[in-house]
Amino acid sequence: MRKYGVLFAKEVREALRTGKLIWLPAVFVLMGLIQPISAKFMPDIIAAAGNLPEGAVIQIPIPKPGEVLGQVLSQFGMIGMLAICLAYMGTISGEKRNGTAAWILVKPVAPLAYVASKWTALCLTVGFSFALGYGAAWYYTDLLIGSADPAMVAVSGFLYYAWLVFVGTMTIAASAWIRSPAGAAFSAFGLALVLQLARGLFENRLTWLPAELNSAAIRGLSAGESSSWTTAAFVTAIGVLALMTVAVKGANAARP
Amino acid sequence: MNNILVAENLSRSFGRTEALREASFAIGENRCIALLGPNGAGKTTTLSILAGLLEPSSGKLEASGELPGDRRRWMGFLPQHPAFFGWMTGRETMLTAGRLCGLSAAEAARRSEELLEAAGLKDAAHRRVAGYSGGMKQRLGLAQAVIHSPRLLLLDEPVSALDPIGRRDVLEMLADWKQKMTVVLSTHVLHDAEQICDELILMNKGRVVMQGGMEQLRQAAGKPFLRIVAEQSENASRWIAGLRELPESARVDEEGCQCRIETDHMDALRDKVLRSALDQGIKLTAFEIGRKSLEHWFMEAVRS
Repeated sequence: MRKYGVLFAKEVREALRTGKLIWLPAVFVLMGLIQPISAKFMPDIIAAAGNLPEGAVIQIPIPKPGEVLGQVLSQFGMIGMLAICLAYMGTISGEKRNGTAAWILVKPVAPLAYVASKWTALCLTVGFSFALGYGAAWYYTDLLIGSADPAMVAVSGFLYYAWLVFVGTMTIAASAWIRSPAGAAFSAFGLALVLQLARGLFENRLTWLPAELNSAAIRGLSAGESSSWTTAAFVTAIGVLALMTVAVKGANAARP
Repeated sequence: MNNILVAENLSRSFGRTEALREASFAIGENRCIALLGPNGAGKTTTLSILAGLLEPSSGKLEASGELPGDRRRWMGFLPQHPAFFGWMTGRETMLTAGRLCGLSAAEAARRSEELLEAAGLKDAAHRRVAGYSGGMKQRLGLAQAVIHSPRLLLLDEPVSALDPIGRRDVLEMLADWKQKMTVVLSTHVLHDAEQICDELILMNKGRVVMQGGMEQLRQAAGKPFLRIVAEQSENASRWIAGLRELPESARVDEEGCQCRIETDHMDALRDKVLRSALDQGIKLTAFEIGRKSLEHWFMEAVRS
């Protein structure tokens, strides 16, 4: 347990020193800001940019606050997820390749402590980035468009965060087994997309997929309907545990 | 003498290549042991198995019963190319290593300062490891490997990649530490092994060819010899030719005013030769006692 703490402190310090704790939040904040601002000023932007004839009337309904936040989450769904995959693609394979994983594992450290420290650091970094980005989006939506239902915003944010952590856990597990960082990022990102796609294709079935968390979060915000996501949350929790086991097995096979 | 680790018939293969074939050896307490062998002899594989980074395909490794079951608790390891987190400073590396080995924060801090000083890294301790030179990294690697005062220190090629100064520094650090712990180091340079080790395990093509004390191997390597060089003169030539008659001389190679005598009775031979040189007024310029070097013996053992 104490060694887990030491490793966790190392992970956080590494995220700070290598700038991960700066650029990842920056990506999320940027994406969080673009959506409400562009939603609000879209008519002005079109009027200024397009060669519209004199007297043309542009009527683009300004979306509801919940819809804007839903769109923000959809944005996070592509670029945010990719950013997370890229940030963690080498987290174990890179350390294995340059020998630092062996440096840690020849010491009396349990592989579980090693992987768990990485996972908690991921939860923290992703949580921090997502909270900043989502918070910024919420603030600007409130400022420019109107206030959204706080309970809904909070629940959706939580569900979406759980989905992001699941994607990150997939990246860590992939990184424990796949030597090439790009390969790990691709597998995790691809798998996440496949899950989302599978969830989207079968409207009312497969609601137990972890990707349901993502859909439920967006649906809740855009349409205001709250759906049952407990099965999906349960499956996701099991999935995270399974992925962690896989990652520990992979880390244990650290070849110098 | 107690053995802290005994290996029996260790084998390890990677796919089809057998890196280690039924290696058996014993590691005694407070010894400095060299794993010697040419490249590809299985030294790194052996050390990785000892360090617990690799599982042997077959065979077993038994540690002395008085030590804790988890080998990593009483063992330090330095791989061939030590890897560090470049973003950490030297001091942070030491502290992290200490904490991971189970030391308390205060203990880790105390040992870090002590070892950074010993490794000559005190002034560089606050700098990031990414900016360290090869020699500094090697010394840092050694220092962090012993932070928890292990009973057994495993070093993979600790001096092979270093320049002469770095090499001397590392050998000096090792000479100090071998008083306190068992050191096992691998090398393909016999000279390094001879300098600080008192035991040799000779490996070739994945097998242990021989294990023994350095002195004992040196004895076995060949008879001691006496080499004499005298100043050029007729008298001297005659005297050297006469040495052949001495009963202690086993074999004599002579050439002008030089000669090399192999013998089993070095003390008696030395006395006689010196006395007769004084009696006859021979001006000696060199008088040396040596042995066939282990180098010869090493080459022969590896070739066969």
